[in-house]
Amino acid sequence: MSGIEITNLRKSFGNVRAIKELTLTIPNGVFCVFLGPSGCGKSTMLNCVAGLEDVTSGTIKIGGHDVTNLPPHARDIAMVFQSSLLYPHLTALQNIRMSLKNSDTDAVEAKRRIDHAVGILEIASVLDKKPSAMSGGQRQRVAMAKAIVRNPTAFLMDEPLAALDAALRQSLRLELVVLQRQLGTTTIFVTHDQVEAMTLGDLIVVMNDGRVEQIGTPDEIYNNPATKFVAGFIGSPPMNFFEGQVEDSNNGPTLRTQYGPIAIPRHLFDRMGGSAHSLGVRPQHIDINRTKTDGSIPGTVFAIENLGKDSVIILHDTAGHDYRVLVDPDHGYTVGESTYMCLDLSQAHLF
Amino acid sequence: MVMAYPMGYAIWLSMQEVSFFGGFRTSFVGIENYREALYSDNFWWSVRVTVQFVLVSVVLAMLIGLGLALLMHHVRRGRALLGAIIILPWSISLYGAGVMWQYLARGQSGVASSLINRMLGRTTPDTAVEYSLISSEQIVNLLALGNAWNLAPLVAFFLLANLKTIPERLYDLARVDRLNVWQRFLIVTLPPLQYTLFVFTTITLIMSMKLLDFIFVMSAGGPGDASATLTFRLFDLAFRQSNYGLSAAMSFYLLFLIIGSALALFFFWGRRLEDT
Repeated sequence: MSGIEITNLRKSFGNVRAIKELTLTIPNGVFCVFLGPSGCGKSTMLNCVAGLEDVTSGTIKIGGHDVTNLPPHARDIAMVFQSSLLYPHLTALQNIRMSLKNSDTDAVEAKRRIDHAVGILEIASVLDKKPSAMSGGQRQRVAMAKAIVRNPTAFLMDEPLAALDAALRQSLRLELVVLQRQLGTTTIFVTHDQVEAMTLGDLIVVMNDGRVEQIGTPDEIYNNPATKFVAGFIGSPPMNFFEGQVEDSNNGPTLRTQYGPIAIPRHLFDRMGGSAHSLGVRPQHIDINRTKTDGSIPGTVFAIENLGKDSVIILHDTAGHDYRVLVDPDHGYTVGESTYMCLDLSQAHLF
Repeated sequence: MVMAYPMGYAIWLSMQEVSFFGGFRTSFVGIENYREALYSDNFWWSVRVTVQFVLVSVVLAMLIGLGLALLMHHVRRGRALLGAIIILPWSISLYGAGVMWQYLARGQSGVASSLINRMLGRTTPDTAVEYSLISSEQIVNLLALGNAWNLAPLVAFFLLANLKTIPERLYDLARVDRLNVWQRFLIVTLPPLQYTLFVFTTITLIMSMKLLDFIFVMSAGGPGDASATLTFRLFDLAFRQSNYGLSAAMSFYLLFLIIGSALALFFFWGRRLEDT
């Protein structure tokens, strides 16, 4: 059985095309993360799946049923909103009950489900509290309990962890993954945070400007980015790009840059052909030296970010482009120093 | 000094018998004026009229205010114009409003007569019926409506400010939870308005209890004394009948009524809002 099937989905607001074209099948039980910068259409997509927005065209199936024209409550979904939104004037228990108030669930079954949800989320102690008296983590758990008691075919989550501090977000992320595995419910999770996407998702859908850039596992997205946007968006510090013209000559393929030619491995060239104009290299695949070597690229140290375990050196070339290089903290470089970048192209990408 | 002198003078006055004939003089009568008020049918009638006037005023002001706020919140086009029209009644002086409402309500040229004749199709003077809204049965409600018409815009704008703070997403949550229109109103819309509703119930209650000018202009306490609220009664006693002592004593009963009902409101309603 399929979890969620979206076919040729389009959504416009007046003349603005928020979702240009989206076709996607999320297998049953999969945790799927929609990742993209703000305004890329990911929240609009979630609203369309939830039934909070009408689609302009296309179909949405949940659990094999066409729900395109059904109201939200008839779609067999549960939604967790941004910052774990709850009714502010109701207690935790009343909030959870509200999920079943107008459903066909009888009282005995409702109580059983609520007890079950309260048990697995360990929120018995906050049931009498109102949201304003709960911590961010407790609100998040109550919002999850409110979703779980509906026993839905799919969970839809719109940046539920966005407003929490970093430490709490990290622990709740883990809880969320464990809970989703335990329940086996198909989940769509929308976020702009790439770390959240990489750690939560079985499947990541990277969106940009109303379009899907790439669909894949976290591993595929990171190691084989399909577009330059995906390559630049995933990974921290972000990938470096060297612009130029790709040519194939007797000496093998090269990228002609303003600093001279850079030899490109044959396998990269074969995959992309001559249309590429951008070479992507992750910060950990660049070495810096004080002396010029063959094919190295000059850069001046502009800033140094010390991350503890390692440091990021930000270099400027003469045109003012930024390049980030990951080095050991005992690198010994100082701001303003002239250096040369040495690229390890075995794991580079051409776009 | 500003507070104490008139207050002290009123207390002194309420314990005096004031006479004008044979020269202005006063004599101390103790609590006689207070006792006389309690034994006066006119006083109890005025208390009754005041309570009815205030209750209807407050309920109407709140309902109309809430209705206008919801209207302004949901209208998409022409919001500024609508807001300007809605705030207008508030900016009209109650004296002027009294004159206007009297014209609207009276028999020959009033709204009720015109509507009835229009519906019955009577266009000639000899067949036209005359229906005045200024009747002893309806006058208090009519005064309260006029008063509410004047107070509601301010209530509406404060409620609108509250409505604007409700996150849109809560309405989405209500849709996923399949709440109907009434449940949505009770669970999402109404709770954040409670405090403003309480404050304005108290304000409109006090303002209505001490209202005089509108009543003075529109009905002058009439017909008969059908709309003689306490304020009108004590104005009448003091400045028409020159019974200053009794009037001052009654004014203290009005003060007790105002303080008592405001405290009761706080005790039964306001106090509970503090922990929400």
